[in-house]
Amino acid sequence: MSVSEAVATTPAPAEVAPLRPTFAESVGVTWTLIKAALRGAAQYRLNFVLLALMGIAYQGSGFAFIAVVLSRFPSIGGWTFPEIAVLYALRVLAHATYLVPLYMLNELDDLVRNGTFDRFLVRPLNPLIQVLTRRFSVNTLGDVLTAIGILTFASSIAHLSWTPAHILFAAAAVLGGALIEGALALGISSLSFRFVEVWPARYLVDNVLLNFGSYPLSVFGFVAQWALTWILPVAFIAWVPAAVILNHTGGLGVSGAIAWLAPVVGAVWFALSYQFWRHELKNYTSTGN
Amino acid sequence: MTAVTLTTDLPPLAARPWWRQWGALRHVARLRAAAMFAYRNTMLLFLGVSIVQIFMLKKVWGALYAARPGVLAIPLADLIVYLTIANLIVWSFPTHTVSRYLRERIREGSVVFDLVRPVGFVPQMVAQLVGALGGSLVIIVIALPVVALAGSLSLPAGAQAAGMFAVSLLCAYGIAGLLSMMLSMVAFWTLEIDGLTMLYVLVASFLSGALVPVAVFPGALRTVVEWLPFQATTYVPASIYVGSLTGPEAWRAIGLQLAWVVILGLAAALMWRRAMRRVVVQGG
Repeated sequence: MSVSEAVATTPAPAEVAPLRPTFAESVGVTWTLIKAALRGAAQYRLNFVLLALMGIAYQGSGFAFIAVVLSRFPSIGGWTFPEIAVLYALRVLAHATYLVPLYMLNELDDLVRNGTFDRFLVRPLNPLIQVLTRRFSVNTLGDVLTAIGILTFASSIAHLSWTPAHILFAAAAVLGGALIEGALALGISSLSFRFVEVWPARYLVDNVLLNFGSYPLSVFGFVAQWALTWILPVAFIAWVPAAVILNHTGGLGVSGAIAWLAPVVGAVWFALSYQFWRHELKNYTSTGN
Repeated sequence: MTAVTLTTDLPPLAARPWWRQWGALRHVARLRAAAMFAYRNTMLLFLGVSIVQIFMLKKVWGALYAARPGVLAIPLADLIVYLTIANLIVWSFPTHTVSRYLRERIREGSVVFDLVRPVGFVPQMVAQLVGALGGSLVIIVIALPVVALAGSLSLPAGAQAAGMFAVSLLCAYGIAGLLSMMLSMVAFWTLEIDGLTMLYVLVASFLSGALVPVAVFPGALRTVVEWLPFQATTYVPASIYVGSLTGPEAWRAIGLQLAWVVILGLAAALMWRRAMRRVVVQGG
């Protein structure tokens, strides 16, 4: 298997390696694992293209719906097509930013069920990194391409005023949105240590993000908007940041000042989620022998 | 890999035409319906996702109508019922049941057991589709209160609409069943079709009118949508149900559905014959 070969090629020989590797060694091993995963994915060219196309269709179909209905109607919840395009671009960009490094979390329940996860615990590298670098999933490239495409399109029709503050904020917001999605994925995957199957929860949350994340949440009524802001932080993935960038912060349900803090929400959620992962990991009991 | 030749000297049951194998086929249908309940968590999950989508569509369309009323001839209340019915129809299609079964059987090679059974393969698949439909209907009836809350439900527009809806829905299942069977059969050539299936589900649900009534599609896209079979699986029955497609126009739409059943039936038969000539079974 390519991963184990990659580990074997690391500079530190096993017999002299300390039990706790230094940070630099961890980074070195991680980089080697990432390269091995990329090489592995590039082996299957046709599959590469098909999977990337699928990623494009998945995110693109939601945008096609919006483009079709807004060719006949002027706006949704006071947001015009160019504005929703910016919102959609931010969401897909955050989604792609989350998906490329963290996609392998989706397979954690499989790894736990069939006992593969055991071997990650005996190697001297953070088990989370070992899960994430197992393989590189190519359909994430489709998301990246869609995100770039829609962003280019959106900024060409939306007349955005890109001040340095706005650019910095947009970059931070995308990262923050990715951290929110990552926090949700990490939290749900952590439940794999307790429950046999967690994919239904993941599927449902993914669909909620896909269905509601691309619209001004005020459209869905007070209760749904409140829940999607304070229980499941969908609002902070793209809607709130897009409102800041577009100077359209009326009706957000949070004040303008808090809206500027949207990227921080992701960092907080991810930190909590990582603590949860560590806590659940302690409770891990192997499924087999 | 072993090539399978289908021998002709099978037990007497095989000599009978399919309409005299009623008992066996009923059993196949019942088993499929029972399997729907064995996997009820998965079915309920997909229904839950449909319900989330119905709620989203209700709110988004409400906002669109508020921004500019009168774009579409159909009133908002009827449109919400239309979207609710349309998404329930899409949910009950056999993509996650019978056609998943078929593509897994083909990939594993165990489809050979279906092929050598004394009951013909095509009648078996039809019986499975009927069973899946029966199972879906029971689940839908149970979930109806939640569905009505997320979207909106009302009785059909009238007695005639109800009758035409039943006919149209039957044709819709025929078309959707044939389409997904053909998709599954692609597995005879390529084996791995999960990606293709996902692509199909996305494209089909967008072009079927489950998110957007066909009348909303602009210009050339609308022509393309009208010439594809997907709208006949969802848009036609749901429009007849709410009464936005009535009279001669509705009959014409049903006629077109029947034409699709015939065309796709022939195409599926042709594909099936080709597949049988080159069927390769994985494993010994």
